[in-house]
Amino acid sequence: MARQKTGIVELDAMLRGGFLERDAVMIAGSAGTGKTTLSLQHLVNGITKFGESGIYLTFEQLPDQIYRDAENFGWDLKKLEEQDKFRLVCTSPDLLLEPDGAGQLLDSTIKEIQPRRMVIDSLNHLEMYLPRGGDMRKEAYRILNYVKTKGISPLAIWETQQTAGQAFSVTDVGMSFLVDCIVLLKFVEIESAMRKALVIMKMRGSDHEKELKEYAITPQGFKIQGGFSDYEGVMSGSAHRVASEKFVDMFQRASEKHKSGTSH
Amino acid sequence: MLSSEIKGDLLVLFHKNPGLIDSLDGVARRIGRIGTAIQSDVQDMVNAHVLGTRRIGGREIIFLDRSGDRAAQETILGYLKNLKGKTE
Repeated sequence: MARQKTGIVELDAMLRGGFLERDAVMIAGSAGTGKTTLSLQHLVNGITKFGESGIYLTFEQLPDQIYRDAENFGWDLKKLEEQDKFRLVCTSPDLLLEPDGAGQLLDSTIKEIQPRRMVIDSLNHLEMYLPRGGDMRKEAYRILNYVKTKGISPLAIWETQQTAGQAFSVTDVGMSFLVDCIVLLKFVEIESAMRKALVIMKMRGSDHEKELKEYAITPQGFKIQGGFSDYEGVMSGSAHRVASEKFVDMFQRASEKHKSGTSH
Repeated sequence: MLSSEIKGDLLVLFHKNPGLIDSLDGVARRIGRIGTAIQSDVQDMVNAHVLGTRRIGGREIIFLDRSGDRAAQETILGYLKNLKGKTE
């Protein structure tokens, strides 16, 4: 099976080599979890490491904000545009929802740079502009299929509401069946500090890492760190150490106390 | 070309955001105005090949005409430099 690497080594290992080519991927998470950073890094790495051009389609932020934010990570998007390897397209979701909106908006850009990757930021905006009674799932399905038929792998961003607390349920979104892979980014509270966790919730047709991993947004971009093996309840947003770890801790402390007591 | 404040705002918007493709109302919103207020300026800029138009559904969409003449681009840069000088 052909894989599309993200270029983030640890994430590619979690995906057993990368996303499956032409699979529709959803990056879900609440505000501030790094969805845009991860998506941009996927595109930039695609261009610089694997020779695959990419389009970033945004409904929310104006491109100049995205150029600036990318620059903070050392990604020169304007230079990539000049090289015809990247395009940042900004439009209103209602235009994309027109019967031939996707084609009218994107066909010429696709011809220009022959992309293999496309980020859609975000599905929430499409939903916001749906006319009353419109079916979001049908519209998302249509747009994702348009992208796939052009030989491009779509990666869609979905902003979830919760910042902590209950675990995210993909069935709440009602669109989980439309996408082939879901990567969830989540804030978790551990010992009174907010940390970030990533989990691959679904990957159709492939094995994948099931364990939650901690990650950080570094000056170089997304960095996946270790697991949360000492903790349980991480998905609930409020993790606590597993009982065996607590016991080991208590035993060590008691042992140290005993040693210091006998040495006097 | 820069005979009005609206044209200046549109030039800055499209120069900073060359990938912007939007309806008249969408573009107007992004510079804090309404569609009818920018219509004639947009038409002037289309005639000058700075902006391009296309129809999607029943609506006209506006985008930067990347193949527009070089003079227009130089005017934009000159305008931006002038604007920068004023704010410094």
